[in-house]
Amino acid sequence: MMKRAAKITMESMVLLLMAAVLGFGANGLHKRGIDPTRNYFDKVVSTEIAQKAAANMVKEKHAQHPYQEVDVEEVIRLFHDPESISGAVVFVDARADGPFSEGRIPGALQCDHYQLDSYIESVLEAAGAAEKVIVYCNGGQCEDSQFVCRELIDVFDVPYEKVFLFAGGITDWVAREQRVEKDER
Amino acid sequence: MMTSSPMIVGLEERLRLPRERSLAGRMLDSGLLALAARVILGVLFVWMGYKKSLDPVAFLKQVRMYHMLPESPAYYINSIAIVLPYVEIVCGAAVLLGLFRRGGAVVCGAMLAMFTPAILLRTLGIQAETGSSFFSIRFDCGCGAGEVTAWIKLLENTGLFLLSAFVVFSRARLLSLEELWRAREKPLIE
Repeated sequence: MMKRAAKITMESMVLLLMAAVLGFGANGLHKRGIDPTRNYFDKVVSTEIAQKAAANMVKEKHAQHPYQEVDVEEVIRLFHDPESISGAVVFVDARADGPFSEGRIPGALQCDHYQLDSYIESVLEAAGAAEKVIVYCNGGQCEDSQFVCRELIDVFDVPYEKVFLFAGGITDWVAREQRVEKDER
Repeated sequence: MMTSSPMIVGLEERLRLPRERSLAGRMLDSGLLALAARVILGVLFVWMGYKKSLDPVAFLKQVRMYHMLPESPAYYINSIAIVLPYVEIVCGAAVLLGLFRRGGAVVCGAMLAMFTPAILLRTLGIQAETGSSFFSIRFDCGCGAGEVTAWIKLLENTGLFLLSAFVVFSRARLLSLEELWRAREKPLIE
């Protein structure tokens, strides 16, 4: 009985070790592989953001995050504002390739938080010239737009005053029957 | 009656099943039930692991939704998300092929023992939050099957856990690589 239990334990350990080797190997080769050491869910903001949030009375409006927020009505107004066509307003989509290509706010730039290196340069270039940077994701429980806001402000020094979170996301945009842009298959 | 069917009688004779036991008992002795359990468990785990491995980031987000693992240090939750799909693939393959099948079944059973209560807790959380009926709750549990009906998923997992236990405790090695290995090592005694 003990001998059988020891054999089963050994088998389990060998299989787990094989899985670990295979897993890390495959992850290293995968296009959307995970960086084992990166904290993808860091929501701790710098003192600067916290102070500016306090100055803007952000917590009184919503306790979920410290960023300036715009609702869907304001987003629709900004989208149709002639200034947005000239680049003064930039929309940033924080979702992955699949959801982005299936439907986004027309003209939005992709900035997948989990593959930031691939997208950040073009976003920073547009943000530099813009007056407002509106960041969104799916809306609801999705927090990817918050992570992108934090990175734009804390890591890449985009001014806090420029960055706005559209918490309702593409869900609210579509619910208002606004036009979406899709990639052709 | 089924036992008088020529097809069943032929099968029984080929597998040399003793006729005095019930059909279920004879299938148990022959290893057919254990083989069926291995195939169901193995194929499901390999398939689910493969689906999860296609998008590691999406799976990482699913793992986080359960709030069962600390997010700091990051390598802890990240490593679980990296390795877990391959644990399912490797252990599912081990069970299916019948090589280290018991070790594989133990790991499959252990994962089911962890995931199933987690799914139950999340379902109860959604129920408390939304006020919906328990039996109407649907969400993507991260198992690789997309959005599922929670109570059906819980039943499926319970069934799979029982299959894992059956494979662990069954001595049958029908159509397994272990049996092949033993047959090659031990010469036939005339």
